[in-house]
Amino acid sequence: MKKISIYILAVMTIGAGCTKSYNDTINGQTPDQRVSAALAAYQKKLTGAPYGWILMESTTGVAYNQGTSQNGPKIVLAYYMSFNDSNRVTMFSDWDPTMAAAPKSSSFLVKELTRPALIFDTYSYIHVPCDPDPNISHSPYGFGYGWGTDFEYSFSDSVPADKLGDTIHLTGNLNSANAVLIKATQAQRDGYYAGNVLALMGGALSLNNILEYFKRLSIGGNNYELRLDVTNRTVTFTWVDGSGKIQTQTVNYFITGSGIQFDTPIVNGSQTITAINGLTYNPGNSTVTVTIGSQTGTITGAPTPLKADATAGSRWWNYGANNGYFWASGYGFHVNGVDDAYGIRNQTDTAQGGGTFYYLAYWPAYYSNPADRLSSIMLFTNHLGFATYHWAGFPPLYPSNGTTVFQNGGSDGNAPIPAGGAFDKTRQTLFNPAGYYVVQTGEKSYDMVLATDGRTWISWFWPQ
Amino acid sequence: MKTYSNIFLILILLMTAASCKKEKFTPLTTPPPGLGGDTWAQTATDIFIHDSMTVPYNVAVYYKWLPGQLDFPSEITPPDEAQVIPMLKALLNVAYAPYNQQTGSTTFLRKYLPKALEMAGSAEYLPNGAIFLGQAEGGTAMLLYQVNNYSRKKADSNTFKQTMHTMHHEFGHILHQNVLYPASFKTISTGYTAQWYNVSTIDALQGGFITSYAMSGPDEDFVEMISTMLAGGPNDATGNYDEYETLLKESIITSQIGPTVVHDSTGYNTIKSKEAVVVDYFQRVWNIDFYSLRTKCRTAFVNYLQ
Repeated sequence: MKKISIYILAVMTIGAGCTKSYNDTINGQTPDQRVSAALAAYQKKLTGAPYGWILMESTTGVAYNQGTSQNGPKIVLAYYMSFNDSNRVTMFSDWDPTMAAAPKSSSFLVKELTRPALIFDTYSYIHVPCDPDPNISHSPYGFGYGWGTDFEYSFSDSVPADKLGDTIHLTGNLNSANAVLIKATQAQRDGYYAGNVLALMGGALSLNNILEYFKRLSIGGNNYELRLDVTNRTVTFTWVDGSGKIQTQTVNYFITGSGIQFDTPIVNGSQTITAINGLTYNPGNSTVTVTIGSQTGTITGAPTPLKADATAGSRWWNYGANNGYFWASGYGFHVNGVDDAYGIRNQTDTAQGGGTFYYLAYWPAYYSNPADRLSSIMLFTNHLGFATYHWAGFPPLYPSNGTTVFQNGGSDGNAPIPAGGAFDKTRQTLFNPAGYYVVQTGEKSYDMVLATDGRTWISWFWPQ
Repeated sequence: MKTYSNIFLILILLMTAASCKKEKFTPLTTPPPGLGGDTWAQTATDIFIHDSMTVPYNVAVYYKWLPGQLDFPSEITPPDEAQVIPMLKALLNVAYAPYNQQTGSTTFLRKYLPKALEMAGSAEYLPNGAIFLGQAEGGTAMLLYQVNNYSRKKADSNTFKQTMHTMHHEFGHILHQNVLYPASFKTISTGYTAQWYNVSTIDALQGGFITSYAMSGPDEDFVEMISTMLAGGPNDATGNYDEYETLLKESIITSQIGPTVVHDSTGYNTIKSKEAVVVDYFQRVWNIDFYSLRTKCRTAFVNYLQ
């Protein structure tokens, strides 16, 4: 009986093992036939949009090269693209004004890689932020890295190619940047060709015509302070919420013909801001008129912040003192619309012979008294970072109006400071008794705005 | 019991046979997509490549981004299509034409030019801070980077020289990958180093190497000699691509001991003996008068600048 069981078991095992169903087809189609059909469907989808597509790309804050990665700022970019049946794509970009002004034609290919892929296979605007040459991409990720954007993407929707709607998701193959293609309307296409993106860029830059540091947006009864960072493609909103607390939100922006849009909406109570449009500069009163949704607002220069960050100054000073190092400024003071108004970058060292400016430094608690030291650090061919001119200061005071007031400590010897020179003017401005409104602009970066009229400011970064 | 066993055995055999009967496969009616290469609507660039490179030289030019073709995973960008024809024209006129004139026909290049020319718009940036301007792959493919930087303007002659230097460098590799240079070349110099990028041009020259990169190994040394003699070489002190003779002068160490000026020509002599090997190699292996080829290359280069 035992033997029979073994036989039955053997029969069952062999029978089951050999019952193979050959799933090499789905609906009678082989994998290659299905891949070909999918590629054709993707191609048809891209070329079938009568007014083209808007491609929005957002990076993950990581850039790859040679199998290693670097972390850096995230950015969001917007392109207009029109694909045709001859493998050509025509695009605009919001990367810089030249790319918003004129379209560029290049080639593309829909190809099977590990997933069906969309490849921009000759150079165009979309390759510029990917370029490993720092002189072209101006990438802060370093030599050999772009901004973490891509030009070779996998189609990443989980629906079949022929079932895709008006939105197509893509994932970059090298840097895993996320991109979305959204079918453009005729108005959007016409907007690109009419130069709307270029006009918006110009409108955003017209904020620089407002000489005050604090650019105050009034819209629908609310006030915000705006800070635009063109290099990192961000805009920072600062406002005072219902409980009187300062709120700050920095968002990435991208520009389509429909406005300067934000990747994350600004939400302040019942007011939500997703885009700014129609920026027009009014030279008469130095204001910029904007449209947000259906409302019209005005951006005006203000001498004081909405609410001073009363502890920013002491945070700044303590960070330097606690870490035993100095805050640095590469450009010195900006005064009345002029960067480096005192020409500190052109300063040369005469006492030591042949040094060039490196950066301005403020070292909290440099001396044991305790006292601070303001110095102009020069770069020499034989030894780096020698403080040619310096001046002492006592730790700043923080009066109740929220300002930070630097305390003149007098000359601390060393090379005589040329009267009326860049360092002399810088020193006098810094120790202005009106004091400064201190604004934290990043984890280790601060701006300081002179409280007299809000038109003089300096930016500090942490050089370590 | 035994009968049962036999019946079971027969059953097993029958069932095994039945269960293992295979269904027919669906025949493969379509080839895998992309088999045989990508296809796209032909442009003027494709036609130029066909007429000027593929027909006369049997060379396929890859100017479009082909995933995995270049080093992966690296941040490299494809060339701007507008740069492709100008770049190829420069190659034909300044790098290929002198060989044709010297050998009397296109036969030599048609035979030895690698069958694939791959282009990239940017350079390939290495973690050590160096960049790839070109690569040769086992006699079969030549990679040319920085096509987007190409310019034939006089003001950009350094960039142009660099490109030509790269082309002659890579073609030099192809030649020695076909017929190796004499083994004795490898013993002319010692001091090859993987950290060549830390050595200044002047130190390399005084050490008997025509460029810093020549210090990375005998193969590179050999082809840097060829490319520097034909197209000039990089000089980090001036930031220029200087002619071979200019570089050679810097290989002599001049020092003053008391009233006497002393010249140390060790580096100079080393480079000169390498030059002799190169010239002999071209004559013996390829039946090419190297100095005559060099004159033709220089003339072609100067005439092509705008």
